[in-house]
Amino acid sequence: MPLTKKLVIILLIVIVVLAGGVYYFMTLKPKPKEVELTLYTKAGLWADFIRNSGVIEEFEKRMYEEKGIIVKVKIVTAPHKGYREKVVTDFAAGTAGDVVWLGESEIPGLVEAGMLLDLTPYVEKWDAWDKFYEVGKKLGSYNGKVYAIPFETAPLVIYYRKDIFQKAGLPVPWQPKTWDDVVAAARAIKEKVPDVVPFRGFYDICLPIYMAGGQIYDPSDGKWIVKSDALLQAFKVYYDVFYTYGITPKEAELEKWDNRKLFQEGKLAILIDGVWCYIEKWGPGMTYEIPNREEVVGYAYIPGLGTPGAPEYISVTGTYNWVINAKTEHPDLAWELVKELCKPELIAKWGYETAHIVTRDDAVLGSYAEEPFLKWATTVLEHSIPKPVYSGYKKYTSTFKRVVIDYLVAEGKSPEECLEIFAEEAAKELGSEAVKEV
Amino acid sequence: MKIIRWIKVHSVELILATFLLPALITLIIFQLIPTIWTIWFSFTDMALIGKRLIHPRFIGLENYVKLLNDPIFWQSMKVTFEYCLASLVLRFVLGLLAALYLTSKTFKGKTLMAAVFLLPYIIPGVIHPYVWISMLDTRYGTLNRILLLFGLPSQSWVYKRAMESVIMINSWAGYALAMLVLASAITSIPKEYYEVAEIYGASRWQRFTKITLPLIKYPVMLSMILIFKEDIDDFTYVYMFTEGGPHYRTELLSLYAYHKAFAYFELGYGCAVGFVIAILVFILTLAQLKLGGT
Repeated sequence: MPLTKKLVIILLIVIVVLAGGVYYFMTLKPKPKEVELTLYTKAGLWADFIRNSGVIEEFEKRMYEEKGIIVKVKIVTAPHKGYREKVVTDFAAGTAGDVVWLGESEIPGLVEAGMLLDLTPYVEKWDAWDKFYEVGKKLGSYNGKVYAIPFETAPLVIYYRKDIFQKAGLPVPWQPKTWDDVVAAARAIKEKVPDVVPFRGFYDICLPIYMAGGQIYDPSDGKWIVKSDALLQAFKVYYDVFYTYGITPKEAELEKWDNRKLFQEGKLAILIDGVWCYIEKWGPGMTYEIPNREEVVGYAYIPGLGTPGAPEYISVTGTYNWVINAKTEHPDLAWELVKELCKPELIAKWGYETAHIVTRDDAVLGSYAEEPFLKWATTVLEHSIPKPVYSGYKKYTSTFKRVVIDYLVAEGKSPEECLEIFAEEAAKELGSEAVKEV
Repeated sequence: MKIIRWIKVHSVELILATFLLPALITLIIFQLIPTIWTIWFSFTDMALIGKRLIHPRFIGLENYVKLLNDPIFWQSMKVTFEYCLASLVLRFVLGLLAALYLTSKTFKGKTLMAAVFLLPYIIPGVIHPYVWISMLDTRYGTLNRILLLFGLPSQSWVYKRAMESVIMINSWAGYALAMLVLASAITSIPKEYYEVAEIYGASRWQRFTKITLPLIKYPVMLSMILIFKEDIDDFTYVYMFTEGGPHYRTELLSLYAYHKAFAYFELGYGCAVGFVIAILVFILTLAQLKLGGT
């Protein structure tokens, strides 16, 4: 082959290759951006629910379709026991995830430390925010700004064993009008069915204060109330339960008897506990399953003390929420993930599976809406007050609990003595400038 | 030139030092630096949440002054020493008995029993309380059922006898340490001593008090210091089992430090408590080193 012909062929090949290359690069789509988001939640039930619900896959798909971003959500977990301590430590160490599962009590401290992203600008543009119940909104806000989107809430209710009530000749269904009705029923049970524990309360140690119409914190001056008539009445409630009427044996409190197990076994007649017990503890396949639950388990609102200023019915509730780490590099994507996690269908599914109350009114749907107990339990929110979301709550409640258990229950000190002890100890714990008497 | 000569002269020491480097670096990163941080934090009012996380103040000895006037700290100190002393006696006596059993000629099945004795020491500490919770339940617990079998009254293990319960769990879980130290010490005693004693008609008790005990005197002291050191910063059982209650009767120092730092988020104060524990451990370590030198 002559040299010129060879050169022409080589030149042609080079031109074709170059043209092909140019065409390839001109038609090449830009590589999508890849982002990793970390979702920090409790291990076990919580993380499994998220993994199995398909919400992460849906979110990743939506982000790719809407924003052209490949988002990978990595789930990081911490154990249920000690979660509060772990999550706060991780925030302080800068190792908490982008989106974090958080109880309401840690919100103030983390906000003050600048750890939580202010979600107010986001919720203002989010139509669904109007659907959320007020009680949850209050718990997720601090100093007028929104920092947390409530996912579940769990008020307290009264459970009672219908079979024991019938043995004691008490009416079923039962709805006590005042605290005296509860005491009267428990006393009747003590007399007529002596082999069972008549009453166990109160799950939230401060509940009797709210039953008396009292408060533990005054937001107007930012002080904790350590001496009040409501506090004295609360100590009297405890004294009546353990001493005056003896409707709860002291050992049950001191030795931490397992109330839920006793209730399952039909050895406990009246119990104040969280709504979640109905499914998470006594539901089919759960730890303390009650096979004929609908037949034997009754439920009622918690009444007030019946004294002036006391509410007709009362419950106290906290929330678990989704928050966004202020240090996240992708706040908008994290917000999109929170929106996905707070879809009504998902909240309803979680509520149905664990008997937690939904946090938005459009989430009363599907199996959740058909479950009679959950439908009723959602109405408890009307009587519920949110736990105070202020720094110092843990110290206040721990001190109150210690006085109730160590002085009142264990040593039999009078309500008046306990009130004095509490005022003194709470002032030591919280600082005398942070407490007041009313 | 001088340097090269120095390297040549000390080449063996340098090679040996190189081998020590990884351990030294690990110790510096994971022990020394956190200790220095802890000491520094103890002089501040740092909290884990709130404004004091981002703007901690240097407060000098304020935390230590507060500590000295804190009745719960002193209560905690008292229960820690009670716990350590009671655990020391039980862990040591049980360990010694187990060591004597394993080194005796009389008994059989020692290999199997050695494994059984070691089991609680090997099982992770966090599992122990779960096992014992079911054993110590007032109404359904195994221990109370045994007491009832013998016509004895059942006990409130988790409330009235909370401290006794955690000491019991700790002793059960940790006696193997003394057993291992003492068994190896007893094994190293020349058999001839016992043979001669036997010829002279020494009783079993005399052989133990006149030969065994004097010859294992230092391992005995060493094991006691090790046990005390291990127990003084114990945390797991009280955290899992009693959470310090009732009424701070099981609030060991380490748990108190934890509660202050991580439950109330007062990191500076918690670090001050932690530093006190570190000083106690340091003193015990000095005693141990002195004993080792002897």
